[in-house]
Amino acid sequence: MKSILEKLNLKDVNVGACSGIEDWYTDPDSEEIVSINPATGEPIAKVLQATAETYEQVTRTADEAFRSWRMVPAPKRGLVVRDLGAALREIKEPLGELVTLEMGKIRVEGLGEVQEMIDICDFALGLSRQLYGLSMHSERSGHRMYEQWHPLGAIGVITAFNFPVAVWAWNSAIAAACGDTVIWKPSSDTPLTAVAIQHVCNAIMADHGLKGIFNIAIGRGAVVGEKMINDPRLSLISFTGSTKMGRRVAEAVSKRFGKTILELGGNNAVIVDKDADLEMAARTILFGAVGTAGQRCTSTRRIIMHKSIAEDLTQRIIKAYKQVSVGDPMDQDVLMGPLVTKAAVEDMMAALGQAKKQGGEVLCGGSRLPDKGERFVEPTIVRMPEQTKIVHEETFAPILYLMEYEDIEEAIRMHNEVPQGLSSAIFTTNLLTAERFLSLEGPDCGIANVNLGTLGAEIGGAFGGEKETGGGRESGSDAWKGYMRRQTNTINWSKELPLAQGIKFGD
Amino acid sequence: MDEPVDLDTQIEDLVSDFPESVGFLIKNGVRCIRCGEPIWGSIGELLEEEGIADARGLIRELNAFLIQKK
Repeated sequence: MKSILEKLNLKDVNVGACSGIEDWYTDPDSEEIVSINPATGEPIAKVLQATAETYEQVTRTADEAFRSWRMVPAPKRGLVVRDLGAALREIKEPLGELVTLEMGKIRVEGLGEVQEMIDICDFALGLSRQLYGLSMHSERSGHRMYEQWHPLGAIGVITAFNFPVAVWAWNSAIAAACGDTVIWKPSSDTPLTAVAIQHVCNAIMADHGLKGIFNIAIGRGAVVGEKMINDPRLSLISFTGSTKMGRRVAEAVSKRFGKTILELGGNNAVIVDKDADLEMAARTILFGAVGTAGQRCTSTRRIIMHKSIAEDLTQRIIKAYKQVSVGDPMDQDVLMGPLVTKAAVEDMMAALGQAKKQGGEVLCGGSRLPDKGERFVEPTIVRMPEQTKIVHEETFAPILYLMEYEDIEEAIRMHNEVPQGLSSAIFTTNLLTAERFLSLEGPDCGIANVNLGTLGAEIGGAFGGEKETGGGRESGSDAWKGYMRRQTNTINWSKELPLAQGIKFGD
Repeated sequence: MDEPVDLDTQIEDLVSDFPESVGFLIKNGVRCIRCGEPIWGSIGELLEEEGIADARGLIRELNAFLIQKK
């Protein structure tokens, strides 16, 4: 563990407010936050949280930095992001391992998350030459009309523990290419990954004679988070977290007419139709439901299966679950690590209690694994008689609910019955069923897949969902537009002053 | 013995210091962690938002539960 921290320039006690290589902000009133390894329950290192004073220093620096950063041509801003990607390649292994140490996902998933950071930096570099606006034909002669995209300003990025580095990168690489400066409040459960990344950003900013482009303000939601969402200097808040908190963020930011990108809860289902390849479906469901210990926004939480194949599929999934090794996420033979906190274990157990009360039958798992540690649980399958109240809720844990349907209309109705709308999938070999699923009659989600699980899109696609998932889009496609403001411009190159809509005014 | 929790206790502190509170509160209709993260703000604010009529009474019961667990 010590060598991982050393490779990432982390100390026993680290500062949690920073804007550049010589701009670490400390305050005697800073409270320490201890980062805990969820696999062992042991402390990894400490971070001094941002206070009201150091938050102000960070925000002032980011706001001032924006004034000059926006004047740097976008393709040159892209070069800074390119260098960030190159630096991340250099530390992929220790950073991925720190993700595993700090939040408990297995090592290959930690490394994959860092790869996602690298990929989005590559994407943002290309994007920096493609911040296109449209040109339109004006109805007035001698006029030219077009639109252009300008940077927004300093923005706030608030991320969750489950993807402690990738979500920051989705937002920050794109925002930086767009000309914004970024203040990041990571989860209090994963402060060290944020400090490690800030060290990398500091080196890149220093190489380019910059500061204040990438900033951190690590602290409690009730302190730093509330300050950010109510701060009129932050023109955009990109928030990843629960629907409940997203509602609070949206209300505060909209009250000051700021912008939001909200990536909130998911309650993702896989429909398995009667003609599906069941072996493929079972393997995919396993990864979707058990990967990251069920703590992904896109985790598979519901299986809606045709009654004719229900028993066969159930047995295949149970068999696959029984082969899952739970344990130290750094161990390469382990497929599922711990939950992030003891509170998350309590949350899972309470949800299971409710599922049982609502008629659920636990087919596999359902218990804590105290011999492995306080935060380890069994991956769990629950057969539900119907889609009860608890199934409508997102429980951030490896609980998979199984339900049956008789026809595809019923399956889609069940699918869309929940308030969340992030990711969806169907397994079928019938082209008509697949196309119907992807049509406007299908799932009301931001992501819909055929013959694969409820995974998020690759970084090239826009990530996000509908309904209580918040409607925001991050990462690829044209998600960059969320980080800029659109301006419509008209230039009169004639000697006349015609008005639109044929209006004659005055003479 | 001092009561461990009052209406002003921050939920971020509650779930880290007394994780067993999570299950107790869910049984009483209040979820204080979502998506694995604590809700921002105090437990008093959350109980008010959730429309818990006797918030003080629930906190008394929570304290009794926590003391008994200890």
